[in-house]
Parts: sequence; C-alpha cells; structure tokens
Amino acid sequence: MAENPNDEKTLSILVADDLPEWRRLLQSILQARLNWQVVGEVCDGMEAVQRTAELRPDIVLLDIGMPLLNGIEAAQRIRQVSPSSRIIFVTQNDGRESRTAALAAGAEGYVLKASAARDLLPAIETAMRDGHKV
Amino acid sequence: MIECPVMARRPDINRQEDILSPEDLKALGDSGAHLCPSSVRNFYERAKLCCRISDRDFPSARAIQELVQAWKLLRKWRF
Repeated sequence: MAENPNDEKTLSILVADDLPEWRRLLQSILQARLNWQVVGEVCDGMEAVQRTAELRPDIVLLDIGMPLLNGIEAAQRIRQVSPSSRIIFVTQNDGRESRTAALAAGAEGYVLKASAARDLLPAIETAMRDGHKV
Repeated sequence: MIECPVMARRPDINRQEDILSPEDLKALGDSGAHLCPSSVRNFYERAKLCCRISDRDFPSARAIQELVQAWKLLRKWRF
C-alpha cells in the first residue's frame, strides 16, 4: 500500500478480465472507496502476470476464463512473481471444482460476478485485513 | 487512475435478486451455441444495453449473468 498526501493508505488494484463492459462495472463498484485505485486493466492471463510483476498491486481481481492463460494458472504464476499481492477471483463460474482450484492456486477470495456489487468490497477488505479466504 | 465517469448506486441487498441457476446458465449457453454469428452479436449487444451504467441503478444480477454468457458465445466466434 502506498501513502497518499492525506496520509490515507491507497490500495492499488489490477483488474484482469477480457470483457470490457465488466471492467467498467468493476470500476463503478470500486469507486465506492476513495482511497482505492485501479492501477491497470488487462484482458488476458499472460498480461495479468506481466502487469502484476511490474506494478505489484495490493489486489489482483482475476477472471477465470481468459484468453492465452486462464485465471487459475495466472494466479499460480502471480503467487511467484508478486507474493504480497492478494488475489480475488471474480467470475461467473459457480462450480465447486473452480472454487477449490482457485483457492488452491493461492486466491484469498472468490466472488461471483452476479453478486459482486454486494460482495466484492467486503471480500477485498477482508483479504487486505487478514488474508482470510472468502 | 483509470477514470470511470459514473458511479452507480449500490443495489438494495434486501431485494430478492432474479438470478439464473447454474442449470439455467448452461441451458442459455447451449441454446446460444446454435446461433449464427450475427444473432450472437445481437444477443451480446442487447445484454450490453441491459448492463449500461446509469446513475439510477446498478445492473441486475441476471443482466450481468446474461452479459457474461453472451460474451462467452461471442468469444467463440471471434477467437
């Protein structure tokens, strides 16, 4: 987390999803927290890994079904290149196998897109506070 | 920071959400798989319209589910 002039901690967030409209909706949700900053948007798993390595964001919001490299594999690589970044999956996939794979890949959270407006902010706050899996 | 011009109102968490079950989503994907590219494009454009950010409301859970499903179908044709 970086310091800003008002002495509030700024939370940096990288968004990885290939659906442009969804990235816009995510921005809208995240704007509810003034000290949270989306530092980058990417639309495939490879780019998610590369940008995470460069930017070292506090939070990476990952979709599962992305081109080039899926979100699960991307999360495994992100764990290596930026161990301090917290990963939260934001996906349409509600299957138990996907949840298990996501958490096994090192994610701190798993939020369904359909309920992201309600669940995403608490999931990020929980992940940043104590790294609990939600 | 990447700017987003509008922040939609948060949904009422007490409101009963109209939400598609995993089975509904699979059926939607299966039926969409038989559509021609232009129909998939129309489906996607309609879903996109339903998910427009307005200053009144955030899109419903169902609208978001349909948008994502439409995108998955469109992606199959594009890539």
